[in-house]
This record gives sequence, structure tokens and C-alpha cells, in this order.
Amino acid sequence: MNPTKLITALIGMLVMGVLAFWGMAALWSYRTAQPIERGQSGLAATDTVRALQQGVQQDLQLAKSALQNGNQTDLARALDGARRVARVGNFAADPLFATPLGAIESARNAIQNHQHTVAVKAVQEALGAIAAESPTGRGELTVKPDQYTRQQYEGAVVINACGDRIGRVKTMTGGKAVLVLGGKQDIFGFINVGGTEVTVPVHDLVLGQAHRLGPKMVALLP
Amino acid sequence: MNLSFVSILAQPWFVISWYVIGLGGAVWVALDAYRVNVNVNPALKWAWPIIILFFSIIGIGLYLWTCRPPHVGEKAGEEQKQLHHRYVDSMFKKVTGSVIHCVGGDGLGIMTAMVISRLIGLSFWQEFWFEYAVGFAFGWFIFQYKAMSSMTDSVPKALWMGGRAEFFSMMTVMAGMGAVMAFVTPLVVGEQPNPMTFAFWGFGSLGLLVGFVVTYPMNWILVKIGWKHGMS
Repeated sequence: MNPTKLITALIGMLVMGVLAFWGMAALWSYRTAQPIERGQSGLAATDTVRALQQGVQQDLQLAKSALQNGNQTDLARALDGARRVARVGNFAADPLFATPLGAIESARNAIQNHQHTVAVKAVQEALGAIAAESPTGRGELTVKPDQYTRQQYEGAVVINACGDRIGRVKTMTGGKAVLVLGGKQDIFGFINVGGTEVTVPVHDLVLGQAHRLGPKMVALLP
Repeated sequence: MNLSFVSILAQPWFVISWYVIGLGGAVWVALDAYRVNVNVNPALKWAWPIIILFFSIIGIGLYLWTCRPPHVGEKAGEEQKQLHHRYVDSMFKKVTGSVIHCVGGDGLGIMTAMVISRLIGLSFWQEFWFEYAVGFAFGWFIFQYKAMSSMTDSVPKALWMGGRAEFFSMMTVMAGMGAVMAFVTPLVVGEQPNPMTFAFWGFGSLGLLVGFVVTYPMNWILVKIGWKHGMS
């Protein structure tokens, strides 16, 4: 093959590969940027654990409605959101989140095996468990937000109390966290584009672990 | 957006039937390629059963349509060889062979890595890159290398020829797979289903099928410029 044709083909293949990657990342970004439909009331709690508790409750109520009206997409998104918050809560707070998290995992497993009745029961169980009082009666974090190091916060994915991904932690400075909210964050795990910088007190954040080996995740309280 | 209709991929009856047909088809093709349709090239003899396991009835259809000449069992020797070569001689069939070979290797690596990722708990993008690396390694060192080694006696040259083809084809296979992982699966059954669920295997197959479609144009160019030889 003559060199000009070969170079043209190579450029064409590179462009095709980059476009395919871009398309895939765009789909990921589009999905993660769209929060599920929520009620107008918002979350009013200022207490850390209470706020996470309310976030999980709101997601589970949405999951319950989605199970009733057969909307699999809303159901999947609501359960994923609930799981993210419950995992952060389970990592950061007292054992209050352990039982709901187990029931949320069961509900997810049930929809992934197309077992509607089991999913309904598990969501109901999770709702009952998350409504319970904190076993310690205090609703406190196991480790205070300022006891973590800067390295543990930096790069963490920021979620709201309902589990929607809303940004990332850029850096920490003097007891405050600089967050980048909005824009396109964490594409391919390392590309960040746009967004608005917001500085919040570190006590507004709850640090957790959403995946065993994944990056940290912080919940930004309302 | 409501993608509820895709939830059939999590239904036990569908996934079980899909893989039972796939497994039966994979065994049949493995035997057929060694006993009857013997002129299929060695790398494709490995790739077809893998593809048919995941693509089930679609894979069997593709094999019959693109790789197995009708009445091939009635011929023997050189006559059978010529029949096979004439049958797979069109560009469409050559490229299909190239894609089968590519998705078979990459797909096996991707699915293996996906099981490991879900069990050890990686985040989405960590999983994506892990699958990319494992898929690339399987595709390059096993399937591409095997195909290229039949064209040269030099191991480094076969690795180079396999690596350059794998570099381009893997990008598109993984983009197709990633699109399903990033968008379709989470909107139907939630993010990163566990390997012990039907959804994992149902959506895994869908991901490989989308990867097959997305990588087709790339493989067409690779065959056109002679970097891959496709079906033979």
C-alpha cells in the first residue's frame, strides 16, 4: 500500500477510536449528570447522620414508587443512589446504616435477577431499617471530618445526600474543602472539565468509601 | 429516559436459554471446525466457540452464514479447501472473521476482568481500565499473536503485527462494551451488577454485541490495509 493511503487510513482509524471513546464517555457523563426526579421538599436536616438517613429514605421512597409503577430505570437509579449514601454512611457513621445497606444490596440483587416480589420486600425492609433510631442515640460520625488527612479528601467524588454525583474535592485548605461542582468531572477517571469552585467547611462533608478499592467518596450535606 | 424494555436481559429464562444455546453451539462449532469445516484458520477455531458462547443463536447464525460453506462435509481434501476459500472470499466475510477473532480474544479478557473487578470492588473507571488491559493482553498475546505467527517465523515480528492490529481494534471493542456498562446497564438494573446475577451475564453479552458492531468499521480498514487478514 502506498504511504499516503496508509497514513490516511491510520489517521482515520485513530479518529474512529477517539470518537468511539468520546461517545462512550459522553453517555457516561450524560447519565451521571442527570439526577433522578425528586420531591420539592428537599432535605432540611443539619445533623450529619440525620441528613444521610433522610437522603437514603428519599431514594428508597422513589424506589418503592418505581416498583409500583414498573419504571425499571427510576428504580435502578434510586437504588444506586441509596447504595452510595448508605455505603458512605456505613463507612463514616455508627452501625445505623449496616442493615439498610444490606437490604438495599438485596433489592439490587433482586432486580438484577428479575425478582420483583423479593425487591419489594427488600426495599420495604430497608425503609423500615433506615427509619430506626441510631443505636447509639446520638447519630455521630465514627471519625470526625477533620481527623482525615488532606490526601484522603483530595480527588474524592462528591455526592449529595441523595447519592447523586455532583462534583469532586479539589483540595483542602485550613479546615475548608475546595470542591468543584458541576461541569464534567472524573471522565475516564482522570479528566475534569468545567465546573464551579465552592469552598465549604470540612464539617459539611462526610467521608466514605463507595467501593472497596475505588476512590473515596464524600457526601456534601444540605 | 426509560429503558425498562431491556430488562429482559436480567430475566432468568432468557439468560439461561441464551447461554444454554450458546454453550451447545460452542461445543458443536469446536467439533465442527476440527472434524468437518477443517479449513478455518487456527485462531478462528479458538475464537468461534467463545463468540458463540456469548452471542448464542446470533453467533451460530454468523458461523453458518460467514464461515461454513453449505455441504462442506460432502467434500474432502483440496476440493474442500477451495470451497472454503471461495466461500469466505468476500470482503464482508473477511471482515466478519477479523471481528470474530478480535471480539473473541478481547471479549474473553474483558469478561474475565469484569468478574474479578466486581468481586474485588473496583469503581467504574478503574474497572474500565482493568478490563481494557486484560482484554488487550488476551487479544494480543493469545489471539492476534497466534494469527500473525502463521505469517512469520519471527516472534517479535508476530508480536508487532498483532500488537498494532490489537491497538486499534481494542479501542472500538471497549468503547462499545463501555457504552453498555456506562449507560444501558445502570439505567436498567443498576451499576455494576454482581457476577452471581442474571443481569451480569445478560448485559455482558449485550456489551460484547455492541462492541462487535462498533469495531466492525475499524476492522474493515485493518483488513483493507492488510494489517489483518480476516476470515480464511
